[in-house]
Amino acid sequence: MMEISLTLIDTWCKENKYVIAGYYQANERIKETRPNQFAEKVAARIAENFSEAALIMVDNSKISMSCYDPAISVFEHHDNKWKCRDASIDCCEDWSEAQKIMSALLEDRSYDSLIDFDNHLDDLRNDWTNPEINKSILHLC
Amino acid sequence: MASVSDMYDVTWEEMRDKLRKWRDENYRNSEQIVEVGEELIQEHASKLGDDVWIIYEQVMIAALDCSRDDLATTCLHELQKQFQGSHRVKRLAGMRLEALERYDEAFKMYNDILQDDSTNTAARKRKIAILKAQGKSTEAIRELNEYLEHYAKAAFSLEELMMTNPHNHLYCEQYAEVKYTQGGIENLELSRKYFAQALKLNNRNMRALFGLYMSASHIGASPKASAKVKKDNVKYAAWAASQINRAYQLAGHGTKETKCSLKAVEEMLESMQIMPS
Repeated sequence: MMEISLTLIDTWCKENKYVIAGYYQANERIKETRPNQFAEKVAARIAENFSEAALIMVDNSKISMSCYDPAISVFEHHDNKWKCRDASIDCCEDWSEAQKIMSALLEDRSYDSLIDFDNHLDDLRNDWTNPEINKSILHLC
Repeated sequence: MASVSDMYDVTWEEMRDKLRKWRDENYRNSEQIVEVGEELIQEHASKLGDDVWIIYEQVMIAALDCSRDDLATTCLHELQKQFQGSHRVKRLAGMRLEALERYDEAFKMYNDILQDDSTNTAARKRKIAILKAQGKSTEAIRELNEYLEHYAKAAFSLEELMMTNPHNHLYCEQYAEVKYTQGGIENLELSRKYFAQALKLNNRNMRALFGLYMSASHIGASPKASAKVKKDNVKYAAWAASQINRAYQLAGHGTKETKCSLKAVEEMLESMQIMPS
């Protein structure tokens, strides 16, 4: 189904002038923050179509309502390997803004209405582009 | 803080029935269970009769999911008082230790249960869960094999599941996906057949429909396939494509957003060489 989802999302992106620019993953085990083979394969596939693709690993142990430190690490493709970008370099344009928006969404329990591609396959009416949540984010900016 | 019964204007009976529905349908909506369940046991425990014990169990597990050790401990104490020495309650105590990451103590608790009763499946499952959580995959697999030897025999392998549950379209679809991942023309043909079977059992299974489309497309494009096999699979893929289009149309009802994804689906299908008829 990964093949289908990537192709369908890619087609949608072209229609709407977007590009798949990266892949993020949060591992099952909180203590495991490195990308596994699956993440590297998916990200490599994406990098074929977009050379500056980013592989982002989420560190769930750092996510809280008021996390001052970024909860993500960014990996970049160099010489066929995924290397972690230096943590001292800013990973985001504005982490504190992002963190404020994230807390607001967490408090509102937006995750209850978040749709991923699996949800879409369960019922085609579930919209994986999440228009409502994206509207909320724009309002919070 | 407003009570659930005030906010949603529900009676305690409705709250109790909601919990039962969630139990019966195996929902893991832990936040909701904690919200409703905590109020129910705090305000209405005496009215619940014998149901109270299974509700304590349900709320306890949900509380562990939500890091509410206070609530989990309350529920556990009530259960321990009522059912002294029970293995079922001991397993819950073990789960609490797991939630607190006290894995060695939890592991010992489950081993105690198994010493008393080597057929206790729940305890075996928890041991495997602990090993998984600790990242000890080799040991987890070893325990899993022991588990299979004792109870399921081959029943957990997909083939066995399919034989004993011929009407379950999900097992069919999962088997088809495994075959698809294994690749090679024989596995692709098998995968196409099982996707088709899953569809026969449930004609609304989108994963089976997409799977049929993908497997048939790949076979149709394969240099290793004979001319006839290619021709047949191109037909199957075209049929699947038209069904996919139809499903998206039905789901869309003409709203603006879904018009977009309908177009995306059509384009995707076109770009994969097989033209929808």
